[in-house]
Amino acid sequence: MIVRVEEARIDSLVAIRFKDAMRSIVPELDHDNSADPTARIEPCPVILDLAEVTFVDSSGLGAIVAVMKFLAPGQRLEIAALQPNVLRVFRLTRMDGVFVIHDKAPDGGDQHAA
Amino acid sequence: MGEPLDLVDDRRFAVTMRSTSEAVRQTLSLITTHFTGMVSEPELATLELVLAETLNNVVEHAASPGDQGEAKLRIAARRDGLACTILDNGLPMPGGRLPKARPPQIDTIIQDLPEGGFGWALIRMHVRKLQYQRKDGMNILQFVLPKTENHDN
Repeated sequence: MIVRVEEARIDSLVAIRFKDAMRSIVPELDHDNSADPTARIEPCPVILDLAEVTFVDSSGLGAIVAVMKFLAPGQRLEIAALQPNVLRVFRLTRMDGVFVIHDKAPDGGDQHAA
Repeated sequence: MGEPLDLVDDRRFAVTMRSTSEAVRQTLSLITTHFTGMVSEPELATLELVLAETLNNVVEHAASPGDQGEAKLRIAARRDGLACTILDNGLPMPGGRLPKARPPQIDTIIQDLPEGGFGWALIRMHVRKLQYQRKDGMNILQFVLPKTENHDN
């Protein structure tokens, strides 16, 4: 699953909105309904395409970490198409070692989080 | 010309803003517009990030309830870099001092990863002469963003 962020900035103004938008899109860690086998999701990475994002601050970074934490077990959050200034924030906080980072998002299957 | 000796030209910026996230975004936009072409691209990116983090702190941790929060930001281009001063009328820093530089622990399982605490680490890794004081009910934060290259004189 590829989620493309259609915002230029993930900052403190939109961090909560970003988290909510992601929560409505991605398969979540299911606390209530784990007994229902039809609710099971095949684990595959969620790829966050940040090609349009030119600025991420520590609030935005925290929101991306939060998204990874509420994904269903076995689901990984990966990041794609980081612009230089965004990649720098990941590097400086050593978050580039926590996420799998792709140069660009694979084609197809987009969902949008704005 | 009546200017302080260390002021190399009139590349100065001053703004008063409300302590809200919307105002932080507007202010950063003004600053990047103002300093584009005056400082190098990496310096501009660092300026934007460091000011985002310091102004977010003003909004999140210092603004007093009742929507009276206000901050004044001044930036002066000097020989050694960009001298920044941020004054705000919010609550004092806990203990009257700045938080430590230590970035949060990330060598952990995913569920224990920190979602905050990166702000001061990002600030401290970029600035010099970082000073905080509380004076007349105001927080005063000062620092210099050093020049990263000698691309002009």
